[in-house]
Amino acid sequence: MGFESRVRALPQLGIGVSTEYGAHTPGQTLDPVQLRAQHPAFGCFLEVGVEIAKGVDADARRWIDARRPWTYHFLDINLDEREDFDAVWLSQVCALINADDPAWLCGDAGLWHFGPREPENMLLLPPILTADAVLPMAEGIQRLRAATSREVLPENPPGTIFLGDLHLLDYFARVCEAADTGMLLDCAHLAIYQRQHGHTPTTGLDAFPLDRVVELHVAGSSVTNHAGLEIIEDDHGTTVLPDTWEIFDHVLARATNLKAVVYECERNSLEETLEGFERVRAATDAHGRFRGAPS
Amino acid sequence: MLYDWELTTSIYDAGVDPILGVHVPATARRVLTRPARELWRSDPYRRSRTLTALLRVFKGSCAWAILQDPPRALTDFFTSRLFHRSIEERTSTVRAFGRWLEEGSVDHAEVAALARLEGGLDDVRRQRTTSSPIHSPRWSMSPGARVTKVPEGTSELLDATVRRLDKHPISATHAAVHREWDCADLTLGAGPHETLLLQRDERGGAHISRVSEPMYDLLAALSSDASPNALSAVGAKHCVSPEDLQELLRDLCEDGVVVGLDSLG
Repeated sequence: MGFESRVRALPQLGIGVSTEYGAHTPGQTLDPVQLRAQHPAFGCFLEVGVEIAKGVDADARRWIDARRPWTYHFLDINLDEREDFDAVWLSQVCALINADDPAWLCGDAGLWHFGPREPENMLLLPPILTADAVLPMAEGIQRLRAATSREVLPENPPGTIFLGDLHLLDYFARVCEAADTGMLLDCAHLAIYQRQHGHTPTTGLDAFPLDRVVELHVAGSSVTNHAGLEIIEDDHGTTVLPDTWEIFDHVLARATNLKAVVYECERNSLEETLEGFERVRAATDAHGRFRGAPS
Repeated sequence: MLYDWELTTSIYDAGVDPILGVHVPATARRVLTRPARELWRSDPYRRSRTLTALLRVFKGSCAWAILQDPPRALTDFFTSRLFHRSIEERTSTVRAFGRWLEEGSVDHAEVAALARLEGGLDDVRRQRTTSSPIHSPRWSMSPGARVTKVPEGTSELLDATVRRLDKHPISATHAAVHREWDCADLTLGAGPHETLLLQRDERGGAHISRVSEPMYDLLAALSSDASPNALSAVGAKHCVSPEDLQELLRDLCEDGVVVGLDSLG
């Protein structure tokens, strides 16, 4: 079955929030359950960052066990490396997915670790943006999709250094085509890339197949300076760059298969995040998105 | 390049990895040198994050390394041949760091001994396998077990060192990095060595037990994928009959120390 058919079968999740192991500190940072209870429209689903060696923490477990919608955001697979799909890792991933039924899988399509999958070897780097690098990435997406029987949405990773001669959007357009897959477009990550390369926020989006965008991320960033160079850190704070909003609004208006938006703000207090959530909802409402999303 | 500014500079200026002596192909060099050079060192905490993770594994040996006179700069690891090779060969940074601590501490027996023991404990915690995927012996060590031979007193020294570091009100890492712990009365033993069995426990930790020399010889042979004949030879060396050896292997199998499916053949 092709992407067009498969994407129609995906649930519309609406606006959600992300978490990862240990992200929630009671009384200090966002509690997804509390968010859902007090602001149901902002907590339609939970995106759970998973390193399979750690599993999911107690807060995510509570959410999942209540059979609330969630997505599995991998944090430990180099999709473009065949050898990274070892049998132990894959069986653990499949066991979690089969038991807890996420709506889909997604995650940064980059280098999560160099060498073995060990904490000391962990990092996150973007893929090398060359034509040669497209096929291995596409094959990895297809491999994981086949193994898990779930959609696998590659995400454009953040980075300070991007190597390769393709524009990031050109690379991901080719990956989506070769893997016949949808995509998770992280607006904050794209804003960092565009700014660093001297592009306007929406450069390249007109040529990008936006019907492939199934999920959007919005997140805060901070701008620093190193040796006269502007460095933008994807810090998941609550200060969202205007460039990020510009990308978000542009894509929201055109992504015909959009099913979900995550506001990544997991290490901030509920009060601090409400303005960002309101901004996301105003935009989705303006475009008539997620009217039928469960809450 | 993200970890080693000297390497970055050398690749930009000469296209050479100065540590491994490798010339970077022209195409790769063009790709690598296209970003502004300074971007490669724009993350001020990259080394610290990795080093912090390594300090958790090598808590005792690092604490002793920092006590050396002059103190050993642990960040030198990132400019070492061992680190560069581990990146090149895509192998474990933990193992490379352990070897770096060991090899660079010839005059500091405590550091080398503790690094070997802590590296072994990490191997069993993570169940790193030592068996060759090509050669599958009938009996072999379980991924959750290792034997190691270290200077006499190493296991006690590790225990005492970690207990003292953990007493620091801020953190063991703080105690180690700032040399705020007392090691004056701690030392290795006077004997030649101790032979230890390291085993993963049910909670993912690891425990240490002493084993006899003959048992060490047998388990070391199993660790190196020894053939049934070689195992029998180890048994014979220690006056163990083939029948007794077979029974011993079965007992070790039940204890989770070895894995095996067959007789000695």
